[in-house]
Formats: sequence, C-alpha cells, structure tokens
Amino acid sequence: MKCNEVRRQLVALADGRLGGSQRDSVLAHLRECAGCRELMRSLEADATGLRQDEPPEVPPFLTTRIMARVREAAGTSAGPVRAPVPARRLIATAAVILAATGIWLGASLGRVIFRQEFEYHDRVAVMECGLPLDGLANQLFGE
Amino acid sequence: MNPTEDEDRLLVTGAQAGDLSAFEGLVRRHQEALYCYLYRMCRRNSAEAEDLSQETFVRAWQGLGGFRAEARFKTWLFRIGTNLCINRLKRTKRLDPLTEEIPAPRQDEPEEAHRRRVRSELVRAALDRLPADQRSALVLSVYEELSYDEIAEAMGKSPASVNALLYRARMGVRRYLGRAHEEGLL
Repeated sequence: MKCNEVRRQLVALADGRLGGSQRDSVLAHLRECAGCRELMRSLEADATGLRQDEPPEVPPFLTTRIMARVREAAGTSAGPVRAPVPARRLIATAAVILAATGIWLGASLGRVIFRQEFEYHDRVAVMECGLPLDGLANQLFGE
Repeated sequence: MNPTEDEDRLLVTGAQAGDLSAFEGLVRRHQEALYCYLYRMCRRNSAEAEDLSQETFVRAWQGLGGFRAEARFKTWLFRIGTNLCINRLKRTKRLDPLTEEIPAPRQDEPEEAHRRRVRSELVRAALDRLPADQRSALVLSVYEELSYDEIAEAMGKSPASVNALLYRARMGVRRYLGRAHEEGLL
C-alpha cells in the first residue's frame, strides 16, 4: 500500500472504525513507514484533544420552549391547562349558595307576610274598635 | 433494533396520530444531543443553537407524516437540524484564519489550568474554522459517536463521502493543533 492510500484509512483507524483486511494492511504499512506512524500518533492525540472538549450546558426550560413553538405550529393552545376542581368541592359550594339564597328569600317573604298581617290588624282595630294603633306595622317595619 | 429505537418508534407512532405528549417524549429524549450538536455547529452561539433546536423540532412535527418506519428517528432529526444549520451558516461571515499564537498564561494562573484552557481554546478554534460539512461530519463522529452509515443518513450523503469529509476535517484539525502538539499542550 502507498502512503497516500494509507493516510485516507488512518482517520478510521484512529477512531477505531477500521476492521478486517483493510486494518491488517494499514497496520502492516505502519510497521514499515515512520512518516505514517508519526501521522497516526498525531491523529490519535487530536482525537483525545477533541474528546476533552466539554459539552455545553443545555439551557433551562428547553423542552417547554420547544413545545411552545411546536404547539403554535400545530395550531393548538400553548397556554397552561386549568387544573380540574374536584366534584365534591363544587357540590359543597353549590349547597352553601343555595342555603344562603333560601334563607334570604325566606326572611324577605316572612317580612312581607308579617307586614301585611299587622296592616290588616291596624285596619280592623280602626274599623271595629275605633282605636287608632298609630300604624303598628309602620313602627315595626318602617315606612 | 435496540430498546432506545423501540421506544422512539412507539413515540413516533403516537405523534404521527397527532398525540403531542408522545412528541414531547421524543423532544425530551433527543433535545440535549441535538442542542449540543447545533451548539458546536453554530460556533458556540447558544442563542442560535437554541433557536435552531426549536426550529428543527417544529419541522420534525410538521414532517412526521413522511417519516419512514425503517429509518432511525435520531438521524432523521439530525438531518433536519443539519440542513437548517448549514443554510443559516451560509449567510454568516467566515472566520479569520487561525493565528498560530498560543494564548499566554493569565496572571497567577496555575500551569495545569493554563494547559486546559489553551487546549480547549485551540480545539474550539480548530472546529469553528472547518467548513460546515466537515464540521458536521466530525461532530457527529466524535461527540455523537454515530457510525459512518448513520452520519451519511444524517447528512444526506454516501458513506464514501462521509469518509472523505472526515479525512479532510481531521487533516484540518491537525494543521490547527500542530503547534499545540509541538508545545506539548496536547
């Protein structure tokens, strides 16, 4: 094998990717040729130097940012998903609202009924007994 | 087929059916390798590498329908990233030739720290000055440890072209690092 043919194989040999009869031929040439041996040593040293290069730090939240762009491209919402409210809590909230509304309605209705009752007795007292009660209903419930 | 590829295949099938969470699984599995590759391709510009990583995954999502089941997802993804990156690099200015000056030690810098820094700066400078296709082949070979066939798939070239690119890349690095060897820094 000639030097220029061998040199093309040296990179693969230095990277441990040369096998079979090609490897045997290159190794045989290296035993005879000081120039190619020297190049081989340098290529191995370069490979070591290259491998010592530290990988970069991956930016934080890379997945989130990639997925935001993918979602945008997919035409779906990129916004956060609202956490579901448990059904039991919803039922309890609805019951409290219903009870409060019921109490308020009951109180309002009772007030109207009592007022009408007192106004009736006022009128009866005026008509039957001639005793003005000075608007008892108004005194109790206001004008 | 290895377990990693089996898992990729399942996620790809889910993503092809429109499942974004399956696609997110693929993002989580490959984003780090892709980012590191693009970072070295973009001459250590982290903003550019991140933008290209995002763009690569968007293109992958859009093109997933055309992904062939017999291909490897990782090499397919890296091919998208390589094409995007090389197109973008065509628009950027070439770097000046590397100076042969070895950086001087900083004040009070221990010898070992100085050697480490010089080695790292020289390797970085050597990689950065390679033509984009040579850099791509070298980074995929040395840092991603892809086989020649996989590099060929990721670059859309034949294995013979990859072999030639790697030879030229390593000879380029050799020229840049020669001085460091002479100084006993590597």
